[in-house]
Amino acid sequence: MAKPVNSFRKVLTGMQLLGKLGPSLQRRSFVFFLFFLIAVMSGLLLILFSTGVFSVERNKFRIFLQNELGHAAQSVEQEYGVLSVEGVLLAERLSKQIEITLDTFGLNPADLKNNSQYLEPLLGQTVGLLRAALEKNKSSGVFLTLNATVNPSLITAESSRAGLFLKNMEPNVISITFPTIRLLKGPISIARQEDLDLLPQWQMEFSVQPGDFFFTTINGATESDLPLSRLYYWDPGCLMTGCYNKAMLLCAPLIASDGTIIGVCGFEVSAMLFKLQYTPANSPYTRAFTMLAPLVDNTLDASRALYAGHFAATHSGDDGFLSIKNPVAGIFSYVSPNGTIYSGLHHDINLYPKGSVFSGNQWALAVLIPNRDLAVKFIRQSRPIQILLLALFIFGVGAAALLSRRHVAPVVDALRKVKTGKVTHHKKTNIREIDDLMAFLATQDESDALESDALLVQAEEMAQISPLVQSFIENVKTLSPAERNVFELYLQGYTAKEIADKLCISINTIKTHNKRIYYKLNVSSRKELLLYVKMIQGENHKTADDAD
Amino acid sequence: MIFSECLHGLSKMMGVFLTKNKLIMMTLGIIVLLSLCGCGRGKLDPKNPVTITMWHNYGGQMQSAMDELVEEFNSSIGRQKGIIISITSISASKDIQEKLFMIAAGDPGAPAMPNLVTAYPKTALILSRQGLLAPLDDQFTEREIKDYLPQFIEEGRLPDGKLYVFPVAKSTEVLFLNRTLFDRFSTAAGITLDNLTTFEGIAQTAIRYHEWTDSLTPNVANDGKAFFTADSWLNIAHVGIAQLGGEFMTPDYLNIASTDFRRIWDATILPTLTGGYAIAGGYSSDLMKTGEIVCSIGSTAGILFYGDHITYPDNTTEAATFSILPYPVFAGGKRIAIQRGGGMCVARSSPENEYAAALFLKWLVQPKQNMHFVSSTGYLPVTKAAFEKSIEQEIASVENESIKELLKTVMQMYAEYTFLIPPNYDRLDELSKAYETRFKQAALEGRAFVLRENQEASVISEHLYRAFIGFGER
Repeated sequence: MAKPVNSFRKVLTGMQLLGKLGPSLQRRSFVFFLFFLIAVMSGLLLILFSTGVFSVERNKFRIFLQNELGHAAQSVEQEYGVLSVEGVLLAERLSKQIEITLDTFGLNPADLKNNSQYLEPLLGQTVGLLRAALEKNKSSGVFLTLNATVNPSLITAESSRAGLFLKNMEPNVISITFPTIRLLKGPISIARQEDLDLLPQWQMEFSVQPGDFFFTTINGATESDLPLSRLYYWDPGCLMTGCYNKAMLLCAPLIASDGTIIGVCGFEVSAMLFKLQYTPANSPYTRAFTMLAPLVDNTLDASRALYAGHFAATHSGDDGFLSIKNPVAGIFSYVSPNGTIYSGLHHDINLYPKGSVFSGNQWALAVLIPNRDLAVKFIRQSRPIQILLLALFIFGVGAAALLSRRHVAPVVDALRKVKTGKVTHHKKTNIREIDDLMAFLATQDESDALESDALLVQAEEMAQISPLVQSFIENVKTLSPAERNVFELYLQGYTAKEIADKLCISINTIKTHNKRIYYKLNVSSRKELLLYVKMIQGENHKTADDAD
Repeated sequence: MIFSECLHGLSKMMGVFLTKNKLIMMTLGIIVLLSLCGCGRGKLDPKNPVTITMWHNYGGQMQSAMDELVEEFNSSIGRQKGIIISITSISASKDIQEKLFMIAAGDPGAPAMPNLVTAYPKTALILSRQGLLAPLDDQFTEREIKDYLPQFIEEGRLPDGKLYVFPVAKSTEVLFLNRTLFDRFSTAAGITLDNLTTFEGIAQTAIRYHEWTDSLTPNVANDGKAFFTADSWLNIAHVGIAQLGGEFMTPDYLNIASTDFRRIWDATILPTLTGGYAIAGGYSSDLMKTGEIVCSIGSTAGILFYGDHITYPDNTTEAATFSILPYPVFAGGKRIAIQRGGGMCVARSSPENEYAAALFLKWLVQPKQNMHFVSSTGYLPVTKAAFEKSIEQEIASVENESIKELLKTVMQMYAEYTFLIPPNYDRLDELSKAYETRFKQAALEGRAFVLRENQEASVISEHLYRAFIGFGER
């Protein structure tokens, strides 16, 4: 316990001494250069910030978003617009076809529900139209859902609807052969008849429930007298019962000439198809993704979105609503309920014409990236500048240390020579002030040397008279150069403190010199020393007077 | 001057006084060494990841298992190394095969070859001949190869001896039985599961079943139902003849003129002509879903396609339980079953892409990932570690009862059966397709003739046989 305390005391004493003495010239010089370096670097940083060097990456990101979003939004509106038109046309054709077929059975459209035995042959007549529509359009599936079920007596009849759902397994591939079509929903007999393989998730009929694509479309048509082109509905990404892939559905009502709503038909845009079409290409941001989602109260519904890219919000468990925050530097932030932030841009997508029953349903296409990816990217991109600045700083500190040492070296050397009495050995530094001072000191030394030499001469003359003086003279010659300097200054009448200040040494050093001087000169004090000096000087005057 | 002083100071600190020239030579040497280290294998850069496109045939319920694995890889090792796996097509194996043939043939409109694709060796052979596949021997060390079951690795080697088809998940064929329908019939007709252990027994059972179902509707003639079908009639012939000690496939022809094949014929065509067997265009699981058959032979990988209920034409449904029984054996024959399941092939492309694709495959078949896939799909593990050490524990932990039962049956087969690896001859694909087509055609025409002309099925079978064996000429 004692040792650390002692060490601390030594440090404190040292610091106090340092405080009294002040920092050395070299240290002051180093600090000066350091301040200069900091000023230069601050200026450099200010220039970099004001010229937007650090915001280059942010600007690049915004431009990337704008480009991606612009192309994708235009494409989505066009593609989905075409599908909407084709869906309406398909609905018209199917409605007509169904009416004709029912007529051959002697039935009216309203009779369909109660004559389920005709459903299968009726569906069989529509396969041609459905296949043609699927082959013509870039969609992953085509469907027809009738407002009737094969077996109305079943408990599940209320939520079951007969129909057909044909899936195109490769909608993104143009093939000279027919597309690979599989039956997802529909009677097995039609699959056999049309030589269609079943999908593993095959079910005979559609499972429907209030609020889903079927009832929403039917209700929209029932509650309105608008033309068919204003009645189609885009159902957001959902999982159909028994399916494992999310998909958007374009749904158009089938309306007979007598106004009976026979069912719903339309096209499917699967998550896979959307991904293949809209994955950001050649993106410098690996986890950038495109998202087509319903826009609800300034939030994007991630749970019902389709994603394209190598990442999706749902991969982070963000399957809720992404709140859209105000943009900063032209880039929006999207915050998920669990706090994940995405940066990007979004664009309203117009899926409905004016006056549509569903025109209040808003959609948006967004190009997003997880915010932390962006931060990492920005840091990485600015790394070369960071490294350069760091290197500049390290170099600057080293240069400051080196320069301050070199700057101060001649001064320190000169002071050392003064202390050791080698003023006359000074080599020219070509620093005018130092060289002038050293020259001046050299002349002073000569005159000082003359004074003490004169004293020695006097003393030597006295030595012939007094053995004590002789001894004193001999002893003066044994003084070291440093001791001689101190002795000289005593002769000139300086006090010990004044000598310490003059020679830039500590008072303790003066005391040490004093001890040695007294010892060598065989005196016990300064007073006795000066007495000897006075004696020598006094005797000489007496001798000179006698000589006169 | 200051820089050189600093350099000098630095070198002094290192205790080595380096001249300027020595420093330059050292720097150049390091640069050359680093560039040499980059040769031979693709270099991956996490900052500029490569995208590896993948096609696979793990659809339906299996899709989510594969999706989870891909997502896990992309967010872990993929991110570290700079690899993104992107699934761009999920189709049935025959659809993928068709597209691959288009690519190999250079058909206009053919899609771009993906970096990774599931394929059978016979398809890989065609692709490799076009220089479209990368051999995987360079991507795996000998020690790594030894981790996998040798028969799986051997199946993936093509005639040039190189490994092109990497075993990701294997399968075999088993007998799927709708227990609900069978028990109903069994009670009435006195048929037991023992009748289903041989092909001859299944044939007789099928004829009985057809008669029994016909008898349930005395007012309707000839409405008896089929009992059995198979995904691959070719495999029955191939495996059946092996069970009887013969060889069905040769490089130039199928050995249908042998007496062994006659037994195959009698056990398959005859029940078809009587209506006991069904001939379907698609998978046997399709007929199982609608209750049109009671049992079928199919791949273990199809377990999830059978569902848990039957849907009848009037949209009524009936819950159904399924049993999975070992592959039947021809009476007096050896217990032999086929080894199935395609593997994954890596497309020839840049060294980086090939390396990245291989890295994904290695990760995919590590026991943890492999067992996760197996327990969700009904495929079989491919590593010795998973097969020999983990399988018992994994079976116990599987939640899906159908898969659990399937794995138990397969483990029993692995203990009792020998597995036949399909050969890989040049003409095999052509001969196989021709056999399936002609067999089905003969069966359907024969059945129609029997119904139309009210002829004895055995007589028609003889005529058809004589016509059929003419097809096997060189």
